[in-house]
Amino acid sequence: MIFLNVDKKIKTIKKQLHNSFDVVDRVIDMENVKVGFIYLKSFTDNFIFSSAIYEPISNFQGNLDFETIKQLIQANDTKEIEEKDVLNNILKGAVVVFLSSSTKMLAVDIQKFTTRTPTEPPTSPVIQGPREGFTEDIKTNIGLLRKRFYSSDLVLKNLSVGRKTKTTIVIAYLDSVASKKVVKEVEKRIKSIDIDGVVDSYYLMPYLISRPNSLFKQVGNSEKPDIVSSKLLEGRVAILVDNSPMVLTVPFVLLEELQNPNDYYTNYIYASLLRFVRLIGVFLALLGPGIYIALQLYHYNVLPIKYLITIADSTQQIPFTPFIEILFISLLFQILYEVSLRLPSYLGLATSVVGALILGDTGVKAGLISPPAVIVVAIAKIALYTIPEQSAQITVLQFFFLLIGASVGLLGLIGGSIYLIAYLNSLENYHTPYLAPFSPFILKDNKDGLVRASLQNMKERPYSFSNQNHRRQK
Amino acid sequence: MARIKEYLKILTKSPIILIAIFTILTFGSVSLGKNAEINQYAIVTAIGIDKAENSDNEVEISLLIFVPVAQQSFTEKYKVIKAKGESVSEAIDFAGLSIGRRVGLNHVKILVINEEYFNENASVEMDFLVRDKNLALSTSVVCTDAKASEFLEAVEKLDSEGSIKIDDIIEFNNEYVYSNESTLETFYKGLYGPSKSSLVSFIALSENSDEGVTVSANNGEGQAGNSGSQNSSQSEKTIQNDGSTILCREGREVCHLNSEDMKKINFLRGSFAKGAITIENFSDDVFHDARLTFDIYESYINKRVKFENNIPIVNTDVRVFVKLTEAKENDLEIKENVDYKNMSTEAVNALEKEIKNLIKEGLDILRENQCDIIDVYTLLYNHDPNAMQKFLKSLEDEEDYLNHIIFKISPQIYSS
Amino acid sequence: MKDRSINIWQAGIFLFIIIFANKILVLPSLLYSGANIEGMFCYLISFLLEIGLITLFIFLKRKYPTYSFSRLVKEKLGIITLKIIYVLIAFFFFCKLILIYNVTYIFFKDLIYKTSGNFLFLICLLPIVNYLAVCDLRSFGRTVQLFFPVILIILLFCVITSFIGIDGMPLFFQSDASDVFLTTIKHTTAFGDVIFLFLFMDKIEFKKGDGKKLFFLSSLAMIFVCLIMLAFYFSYTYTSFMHPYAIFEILGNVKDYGGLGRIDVVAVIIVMILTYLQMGVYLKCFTLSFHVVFPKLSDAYALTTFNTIFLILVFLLIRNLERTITYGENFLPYISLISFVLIPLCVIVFLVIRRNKNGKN
Repeated sequence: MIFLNVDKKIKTIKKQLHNSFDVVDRVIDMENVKVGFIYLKSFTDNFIFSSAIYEPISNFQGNLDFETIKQLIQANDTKEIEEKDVLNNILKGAVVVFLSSSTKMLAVDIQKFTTRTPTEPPTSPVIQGPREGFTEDIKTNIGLLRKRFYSSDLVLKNLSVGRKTKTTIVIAYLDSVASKKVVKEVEKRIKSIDIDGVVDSYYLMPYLISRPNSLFKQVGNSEKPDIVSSKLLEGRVAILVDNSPMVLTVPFVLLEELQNPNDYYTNYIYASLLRFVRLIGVFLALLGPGIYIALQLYHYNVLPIKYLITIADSTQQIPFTPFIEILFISLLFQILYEVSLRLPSYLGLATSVVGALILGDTGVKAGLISPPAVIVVAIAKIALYTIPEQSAQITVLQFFFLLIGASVGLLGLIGGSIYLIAYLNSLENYHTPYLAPFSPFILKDNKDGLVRASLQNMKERPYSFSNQNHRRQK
Repeated sequence: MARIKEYLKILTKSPIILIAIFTILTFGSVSLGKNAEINQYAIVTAIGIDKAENSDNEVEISLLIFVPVAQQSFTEKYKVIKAKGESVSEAIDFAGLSIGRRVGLNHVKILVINEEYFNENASVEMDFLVRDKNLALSTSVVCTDAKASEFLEAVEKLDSEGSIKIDDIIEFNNEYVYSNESTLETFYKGLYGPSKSSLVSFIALSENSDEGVTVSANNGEGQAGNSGSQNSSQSEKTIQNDGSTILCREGREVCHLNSEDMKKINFLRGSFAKGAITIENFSDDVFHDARLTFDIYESYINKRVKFENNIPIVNTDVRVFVKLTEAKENDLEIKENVDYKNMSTEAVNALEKEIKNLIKEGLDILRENQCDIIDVYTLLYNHDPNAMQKFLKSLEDEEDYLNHIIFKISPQIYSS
Repeated sequence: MKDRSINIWQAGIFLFIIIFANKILVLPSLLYSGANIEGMFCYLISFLLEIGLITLFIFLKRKYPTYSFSRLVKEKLGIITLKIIYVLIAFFFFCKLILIYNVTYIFFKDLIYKTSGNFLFLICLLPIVNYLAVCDLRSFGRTVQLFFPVILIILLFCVITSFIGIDGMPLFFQSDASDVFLTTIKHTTAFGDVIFLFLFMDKIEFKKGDGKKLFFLSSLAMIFVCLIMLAFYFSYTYTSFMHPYAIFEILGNVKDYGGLGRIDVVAVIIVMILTYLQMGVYLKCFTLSFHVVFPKLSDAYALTTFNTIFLILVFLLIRNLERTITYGENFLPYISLISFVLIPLCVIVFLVIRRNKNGKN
């Protein structure tokens, strides 16, 4: 009995796929039945198709029915699908098998990509510790997470976002640790996304937060499985996006930027010292040029005579006003930075030499810029990279404080700082204050705040955000 | 119109754009053109006040200013600017006129005043400087016998050569000679206190180039008139620091103290940082008719006050830690106890006697000049205000109370 | 925007700032002029009154944990009385804002900004203070909580460093009780701002034992004020009247600190931080009061009203220290009646009425 016209079905599906050149269809004419196969050859494994699907079926002797086919196919991921899911499965790298004698259809996942190996991500190098990094393949990424949690507590929920791209999004969390409210909210927000396509995890960020237009990052991200695993252990929820090596984590607090993976793979006293250094770096980067300008323009009386003499001598012949001078130097630094990002490596050395010569030596000798200004801006720009993830935000704020310091002086700098802190305190996502555990002050969480306690003493999970179970170790 | 409405809608939806525009427009316009204050102010490091020549009412100000020079080395260039005016503030204004900059007093370290002012009332001339909030009241005050402008010229030479700086000399004096800072603040504290007395450091300018710190100041001709001037007279003067101090009462100089006198007074003040005591013709088991010099490396004073029969008594316990530094004796032969750590009773007694004498002499200086530098008035008043009031009322001259207070001095000597 | 609640620590830190900020600039010198070293007692008397206000607040909060002060006034005294009281409270905080602005403007202008005009200060202060007033109270509370350790460290530094510079003793017992009381009355303006607690009453989370935390933080502020006052009097003794800005001068007495130059800039920084936060609290109280008087008008109206009148008055009013002090000594003590008489009276009336109701029942 014929229930399904195989040729017609194949034609319909090919038409839906706009007769793309990578659509492959095969038909086996058996004694009592016709078996049809359709798949996309561009990202499926042809070898598995031939050896595990096509050959066993074509070599079968006897009455072939749907159940028999299911048993003959030697691939792992085989499932029955309905009519409406045919196209989706083909587009996701499955081969759809259908028989003329049955309305049921089978999808066998034979997806195959060329992906890179999990190498150390360039944004998070470590001296000691794991060097694996996520890749663009979500299955690999899931595998990297799974091998760190040999327990059933790790939950992975699959969602799809993007009308055209239908990108796979996986929400990962620990069932006994993460707050159910947070998980629900994340799911709700992701499901409510109505977008053409998701090319990278960055596309999801604005939808996961309450203030998407803010300058400040409100979603954590990492390319390293060990970091994401430790965040999951703290009670956060991770969001993996197909085709993106960057995994997002929520809730996010600003303290996470101060923490570095190296901190947990080294002595805790040294790690604490490094955190202070980072904090000082942030202050220098944010306020350094602003303070220098403010002192020159409004508060020269604050400078001790020796420094005053040095600055007065150095700035005597400079044609620019101090603000323009600092802007000019900052702009040069920024141009150098942009160039170094995009330049091929064989030209990098030449650019460094030219940049150093122009800025460091020739500019000063020509009397265009003064040495103190160069030093101040150089320190500020270098200190920016103590927290590279916030470099964009700090660069913008640096300019903001420079402007204020130049126009109003110390009063403006302090006012600007108060405004900034008040603004950061108003940011809150998933019931988590942005500046926790400093503000509100949560004493227990400060064991892993500005200082890092020894691992034996970090017995509880953070109280900064909600989780089900605060106890980590006895 | 529709487009404008659209833009306005975007602005109201994202206030950050509004804030950014507002910030850049307001602050940017202010800051772009603003020049550094360093280039608008003349940085003054020392001020000198003199009586103007050929005038009774006028005052001459000398300002030692730092001159910025575009250079990469670390030498500093200074210049002395002079100006006259009917008051100090007027003279400073004229000085600013002559250099084309505002006068910035924030970095003034020294205030040099000609001794003539201390013969009348120096506080009158310092009034402007005290009211100016930019001048720190921790500015050192120095009195000099020569013209303050010549003093500053000598200082300028010192600073420019990068040799011993006047700040170092003054700091040394403050710590080791007066054991107290001679600043505007201490001057006024003394003036407004019950004793109305203060100490002001004195540094002379000597014509004799063999003495003191040999430095000469030789610049161009001076200019007279009610204006600012940038030149100074030709002179060869040296700064002569011999540890002198002047004792002032009500802003007037009453006594000129040398370093020895200061040492005696410092015993009483309990702030003895450096000094030596010598005993002549000393004999004991170790020495015979020797001249011993002991270095005092620490001293403590404890004053206990009481009133007996309406007379205040100050029991002064002085603890002095000494070390023998020099022994002069013909044919001196010491086989043991070389450091004289175990001082003999005779030595202790001799030292105690010497210290008592020194303290008495110091007290005599203060009594003679009615200057209560040791602030015994406050001690007595805080102990028993009624008794103190009664005692003062019983005196013919209330300001002469120091002569009627009994001091019982008990020195105790400890060797190192 | 509806304000979220703050915890007791944040409320306590607000209290610390309000108690401390007013009293470390010109007040010590003024009290010395009036009552010499016994000016210390003026502080103690006024602090006792403030502690009384805090106690009343705690009592009221325990009795009515979820009520706001406006609701209490409305229920017990009627709506007209509510409006009158809140108009007076708004006026009180408005006057304090003018006073604080003038004093700090003159302070900054004298010491660090020599040529800048009013415009520069206003462009800097007003936007920030306005933002603090309208932002959520919880955000504001967290902000002060974050600045609190910074303030404490700077204060400790100021106090410890200033005690190094002390080398003399002032004369004691030079003034008598009448001098002390008269001086206290003359300078009550600087005290009494703790009534902000009543305005924030329903927004403070209050649990058992939280009263102690409030007392602790307020006592800490009072101790710091007294220490700074002592450091000032002992540093300058007879010349205290010559130094109008206490916290600045006690550091100025310490000469050239380790090659860093004059360290009195630290005092300037702390005054700046405290000015912003204090003005933010005052403006928030003004906005809250305005909202009670005109419930249908939003915060924007309150701020517009405030900014307009403030700008007019600031340009017309006193701009030198002596006149500001005269304004503070002659006119403003009367408004302190609001904090030391009116509010306690209201609280007592609430308790009496409740007790009567209970008695009748």
